[in-house]
Amino acid sequence: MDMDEKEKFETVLGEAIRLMEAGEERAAILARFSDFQKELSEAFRIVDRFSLFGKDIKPEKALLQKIIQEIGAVTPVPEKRFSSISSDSKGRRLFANPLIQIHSFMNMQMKYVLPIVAVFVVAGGVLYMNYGGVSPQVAQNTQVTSEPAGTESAAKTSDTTATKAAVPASTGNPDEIVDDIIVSLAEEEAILNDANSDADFATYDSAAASEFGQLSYE
Amino acid sequence: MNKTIPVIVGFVLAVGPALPAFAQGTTTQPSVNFCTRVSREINQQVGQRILERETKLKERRGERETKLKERRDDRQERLREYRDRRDLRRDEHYTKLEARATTTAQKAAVVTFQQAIESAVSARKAAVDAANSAFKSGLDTAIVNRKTAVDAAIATLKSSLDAAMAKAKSDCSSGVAPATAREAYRTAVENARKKFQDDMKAAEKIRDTVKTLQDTRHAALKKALDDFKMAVEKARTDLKAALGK
Repeated sequence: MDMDEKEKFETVLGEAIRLMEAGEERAAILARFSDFQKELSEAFRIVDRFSLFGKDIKPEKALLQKIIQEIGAVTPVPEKRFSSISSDSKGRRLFANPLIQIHSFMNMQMKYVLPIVAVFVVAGGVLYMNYGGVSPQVAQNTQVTSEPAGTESAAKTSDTTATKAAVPASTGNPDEIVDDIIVSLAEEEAILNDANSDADFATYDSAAASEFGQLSYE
Repeated sequence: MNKTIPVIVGFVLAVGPALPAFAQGTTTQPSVNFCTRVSREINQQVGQRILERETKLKERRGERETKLKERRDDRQERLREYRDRRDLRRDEHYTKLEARATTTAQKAAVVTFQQAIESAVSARKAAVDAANSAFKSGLDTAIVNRKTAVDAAIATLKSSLDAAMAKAKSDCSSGVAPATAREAYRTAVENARKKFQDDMKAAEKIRDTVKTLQDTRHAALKKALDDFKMAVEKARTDLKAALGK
């Protein structure tokens, strides 16, 4: 592609992109610029490919080289391809957009996203320590006072301790005292009701015993 | 291909009526062999099967004993822990209440309140323990009775099977036709099986016994709860009246 053709192609490409953005069918655009059908098809394919990949994906190096070779309007800058868009690229910015966006995003990530993430992590840590979780000090105290983990009784003791700790201090108010006594009965009732299931053990051997009547004795 | 299907259909129609005869011949074979099998094979197999079931039943009963004990112990421990915790809590209430009582009358009212509450608590504990104990012993008795009934049913079954086996051996050795001996054995086995199933149905009546135990316990616990609430509410009313609130 000589310089005249390059300039012509740039003009055609800019027009083609404008038409495409205006909603014209690609087939119609290709038909309109029949001299550059091959180049335009390639350009559309590349645009499609970037669109599918999304913003966070860098284009393949070979593909980028192909763009540069086919279009020849971008100044190649080794090792700095994401900053190699020429100032007069015109409509090429559309399919150069993903590159620009990747570049912009990386810059933004460095400038804004990382500090924001850092602030959130620190804030989250502070909230967790104060409200959402158990502070290391409390955890340490709990570990010292609780029984060895892994046993049912230890878990129950821990629950009980938590329940006890959650009970507010007595105020000496007669109503509150009596209400507290009555409310506590629910816990006792739950324990007592558990005994109802013991009745199921009365017939625990039914299936095993019944098998004697189902055997073949021949 | 078109001729194949009619040929197959024709063959089946022709041979079909004769099939029951073949089948009959096949089923008569065990009867013929019955007398040779009854003394060794059948006797051994039946004994083995019963032994396996007895082992399984024993294991199941062992599991029941272990699990039931675990549940009871766990519940007893939870109840003990609950009561200890509540005793401490009431002591805390009484201390605060005493601190608020300034006059002699108020202090006396607090003492009366404390005695009333503790009396109600003791009565409740006693009632709950009695209900639990009655349920526990009643259930244990029901389980033992059922075990006795089931064991008796199994013993009867085994005895009947032994008798059926002995008769079959006797029939075979005295020249009774194998088919006749086998039929007599099968009838005896079926009768033994039916008797066992009837005995098991009777043993299953333990469910009624257990239901009665549950209902009795439930009623006792409800009464204990109602009595306790009533006593506590009275203590509240009396205390508030004495404190002028």
